[in-house]
Amino acid sequence: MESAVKDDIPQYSLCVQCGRCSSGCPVAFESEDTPRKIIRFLQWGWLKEACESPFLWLCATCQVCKVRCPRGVKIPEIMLALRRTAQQKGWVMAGEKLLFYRTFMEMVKKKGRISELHLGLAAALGKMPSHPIDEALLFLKLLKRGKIR
Amino acid sequence: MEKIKVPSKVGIFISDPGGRLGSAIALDSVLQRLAKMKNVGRCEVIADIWSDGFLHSVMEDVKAGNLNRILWVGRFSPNQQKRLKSELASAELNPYLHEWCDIEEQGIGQEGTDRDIQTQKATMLIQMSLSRARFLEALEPIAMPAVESVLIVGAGVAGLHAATSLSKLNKKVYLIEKESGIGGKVAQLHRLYPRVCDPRCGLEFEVKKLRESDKVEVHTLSQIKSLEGSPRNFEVKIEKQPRYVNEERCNACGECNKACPIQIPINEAFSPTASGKGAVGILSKKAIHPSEPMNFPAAYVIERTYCPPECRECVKACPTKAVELEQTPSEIVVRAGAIIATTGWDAYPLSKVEEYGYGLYPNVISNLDAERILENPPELKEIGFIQCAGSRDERHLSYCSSVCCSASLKQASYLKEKLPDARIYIFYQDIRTPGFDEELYQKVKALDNVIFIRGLPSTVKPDGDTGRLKVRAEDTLSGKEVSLNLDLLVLAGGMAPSAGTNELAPLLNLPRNNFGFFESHLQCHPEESQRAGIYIGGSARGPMNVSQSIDSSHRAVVESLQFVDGTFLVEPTYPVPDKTKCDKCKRCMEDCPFSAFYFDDQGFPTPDLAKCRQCGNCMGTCPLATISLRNFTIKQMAAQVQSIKASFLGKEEPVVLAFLCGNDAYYAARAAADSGLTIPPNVFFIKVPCAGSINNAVIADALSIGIDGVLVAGCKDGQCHYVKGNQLVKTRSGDISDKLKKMMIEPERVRFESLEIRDSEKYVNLINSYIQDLRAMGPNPFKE
Repeated sequence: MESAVKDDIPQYSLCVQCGRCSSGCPVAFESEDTPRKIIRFLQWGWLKEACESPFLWLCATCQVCKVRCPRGVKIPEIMLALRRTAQQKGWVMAGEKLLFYRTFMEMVKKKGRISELHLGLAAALGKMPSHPIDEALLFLKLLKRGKIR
Repeated sequence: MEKIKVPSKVGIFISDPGGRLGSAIALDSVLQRLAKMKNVGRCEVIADIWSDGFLHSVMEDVKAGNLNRILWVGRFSPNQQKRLKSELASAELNPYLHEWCDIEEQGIGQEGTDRDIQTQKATMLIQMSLSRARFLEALEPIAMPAVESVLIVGAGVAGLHAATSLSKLNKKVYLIEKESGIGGKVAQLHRLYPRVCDPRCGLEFEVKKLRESDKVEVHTLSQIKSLEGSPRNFEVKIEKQPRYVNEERCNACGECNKACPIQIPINEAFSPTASGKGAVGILSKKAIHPSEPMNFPAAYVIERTYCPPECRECVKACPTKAVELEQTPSEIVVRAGAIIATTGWDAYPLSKVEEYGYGLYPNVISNLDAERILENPPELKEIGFIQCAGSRDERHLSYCSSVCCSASLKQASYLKEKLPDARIYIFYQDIRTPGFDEELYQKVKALDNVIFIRGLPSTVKPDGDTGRLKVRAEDTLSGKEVSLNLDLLVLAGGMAPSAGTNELAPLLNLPRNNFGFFESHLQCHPEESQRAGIYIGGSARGPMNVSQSIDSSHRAVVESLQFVDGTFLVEPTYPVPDKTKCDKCKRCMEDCPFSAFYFDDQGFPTPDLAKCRQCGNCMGTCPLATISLRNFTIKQMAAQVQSIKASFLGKEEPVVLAFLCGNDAYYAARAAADSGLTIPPNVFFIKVPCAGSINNAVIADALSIGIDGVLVAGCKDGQCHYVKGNQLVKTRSGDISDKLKKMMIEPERVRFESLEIRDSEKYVNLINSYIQDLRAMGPNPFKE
C-alpha cells in the first residue's frame, strides 16, 4: 500500500472516520462518495480513486466539515489539493468542470484577475457547440423566475 | 551539647566464599593497600561470614571500641544484610554504620580480564566505599506523633466508601460535602449499569454504616477554606454555609415544602420559559426542600437566594420551629493526619457543543438529565442518542470518558422496557464497553427497534414547528444517508473535573494533569497527589465508573493509614541544610518535586520531614552545595570521587565515572555485569538516589582530578520516580558548562543519558561508545 502523502495534501491520518463531516456537508449525498469516504481512500493510499471522485468538484468549500471535525482535519484544503493533483495527473471524471477550472486558473496566472466576459467566452468556445444554446435556455428560465435583475 | 568526635575505625571484611574473588584478583595486595589507609581498624578476607567465631570476634572488637564502622565487601542478599545489622546491633553498633560494597556488580571477576588491572580497580572500588564509610553517622528513625483522624473532601460514592472503611478500622473521619446532602453524582442516577439496578440501594447500605458508627462526623454545606500544618498533623479551616434549618430540630415532615410559594427551575433546558413544545422532565422544586442529592442529613435546606425577603411561610408552617432564617456562615477547625480528596466530576457543559442545541431545544438533554426521566418517561416514539458529544474532540474534551457508552446502553435498555413501542437510534463512533460490560452491548443490540448507526450527526435542527428534531448522519458502514426526526435526543457528554476539584487544587497546592484532574504517577501510584499525606480517590482522578471509584477510594484509604496510626516513622536519612553556608536563595524549595520545603523562623528553607521523600534533588540543585542527605552527603560523594586514580590505565586510556540513578539505571548496570556482558575496566559507577541528587560541584570535582568523562544516567522523561529529577539535572548542565569552560575542560566530558531498568545492553554500549569518543577527544588536561 503506497503512502499517498504528498507535500501539499494536509494531514488526513488524524481522521477517525466519525462521519460528522458527511453529516454537515450540503452536497455529501449528491454523488457516490462523501468527504469521509474520500479521506478513507487517502488513508489507504488510493490517491487515484480519491482524485477520480466527482465529489471533489461538488465541494463548495463551505467549511462546515472543518468546523465539525473533532480532530481538526482540514477537509476543504484536502479537496482543493486533490483537485490540483487530479488536474495535474489527468485523473478527472468531470471533463466540463475541469475545462472551466483550467480556464479560470490560467486566466488568473496570465492576467492576475478574472474578466468575466472573457472567461465566459473562453469557456463557451472550449465546450460543445450546443453549449451557448443550453446557456441561453437557462437564461430564459432564470429570467422567468425573476432571478435576473 | 557538644559532640565529641570519635575518629572512625572501619573494619573491612571481604567475603569470598569458595575463593572466587581470590582467583580473579590478587586479594593479598588489596589487603596490603587497605591496611595502610587512614581509619582502617581491621581488614581481612573471610571465607565464611557465618562461621563460628567470626561475628563474635567482630562484636568483641566493637564492644572494645576497636571498630565503630563496618565495610562489607562482597555479595550480600537483603536478608543477609538485615541479619548482620541486627546481630551487630546487639553489640550496640548502630545499623546505619554499615557500608556495603559489591565489586562484582562493577565487572570485577569477569572472565578474560587482566588480573592486575582488575586488582587495581577493585582496590579503588573498595576505597570509594571506605571513604563513604568514614563519614557515616549513627542515626535513629524519628517517630512523629500523628493525629488519628482523616479528612475526606466530597461525600460522593468514593468519599462515602472511604469514610465507612476508615470507620471500620476505628479511625475518626471528618466527611465534608459542599452540597446540602451526600451521594454526589451517583445519587442523581436512576439506574446503574450493568445490572440496571438502583444506585440508592448501594448508597443506603453505606449510609447505614455511617448512622451506626460514631466515628464519622458529616459536615454538609461545607468547604475547605485553608490548610496549615503538615502530614500527620494537618490543621484545616472549614467554612459552613447556613442551612437555615436546625439539623437537630427538623424531622423532615415536609409541611414547610407544602407551604412554600417559590418554585426554582431545576435545569435551564427544562425551564418553563424554554419553547414549550417537547419539553421533558421535572421542571422545578420549592425553595425549601430536602437535602440534595440524598436526604442525608434528614433536615431540609433553604435556597435563600430565591426567597422574597419578607416571606415567612416556612417559619409559620414548621411544627418543630426548626426554620432559622437568621443563620450565618460559620467556621470550624479540624485536625487530621491525612486528607483524602474525593471531589468527583462534573458533566462537561454541553451547551458548548453548540451544533447539538443543548440549552436551545428543550428536548435535547444529556445522559445525566435523562436519568431524571427514566422513571416516568413521557410517551416518546423516536429517541436518539449521540455518543461522544463533546468528547474525543479537540475543541472540547479530547479524552474518552469511558463510561458513556455503557451509560447510554443502560438508558436505552431501560427506556425500551418502559416504552416498548419506541424506536431508539444510537449514533456512535465506537462502542466502548470493555470487559464484562460487553454483555450489556450484546443485550441491547438484540433488542427490537434499537438501531445502531456508525456515524455522528453534524448539526441538530428543529423540524419546523413540530417541536421535533431533525438529525442527519452518514451511516459510515453502508455509506448511506440517514435522516431522522426525533422526539428526544440524548447527548452522551463527557466527565470533566468538578468545580470542587478546581477549587481544592490551588488551596492544597495539588498538581493537575493537562485535563484538569488531580495528577501524580497514574501507573504505579494512582492514589497519590504528589503531596505527602493527601490522597485522591474516585473520579477526581479521571473518568471512571462506580466500581472503579470505590476501588480507587479504598486505595487512598490504605495509603492514608500511615499518617493516622498514632506515630509516623521518618527514615533518618533526611536532608539537612547547613545554615552557616546557606544564602536563602531557595532554589531547593523551588526544585523540590514535592513542595516539601517551608521557611523556618530564621527564614532558612527547611524540609518538612513528613513531606520529604528523601530523593536528594535539593542536594543536587543547591548552588552552594550546603544541603545534604544524612549518610549520603556531598562530602561523601566528593570523597568517593577522590578515591579514583584517573590514570590507572595509563594516561591515554580514558576513565569514565558514571552516576547511576538507583531506581532504574543502577539495575541496568548491575544486570549487565550479572548477565556476563563485558564491562570495560574503564568505568566506575556510583549509585545515587535520583539523577537529580547529583550536585554540579561533584561533577566538577571529578573532572578536576583528571577523570576523562562523567556520565549521568537517569530515568526517561515522564518516568522519574521523583517526577522530574532527571530533567532538573539536565537543566543544571547549562550551569556547569560555563564553569567547565573556565576550567578549560570540554563540556562534552559530561553526558546525560536515560536508562530503563533492564537496559543492560544499552548501558554497556553507552559506556563503550563514550570511551571511544573520549579516546578521540584525548585525555583530560588535569590528568596526571
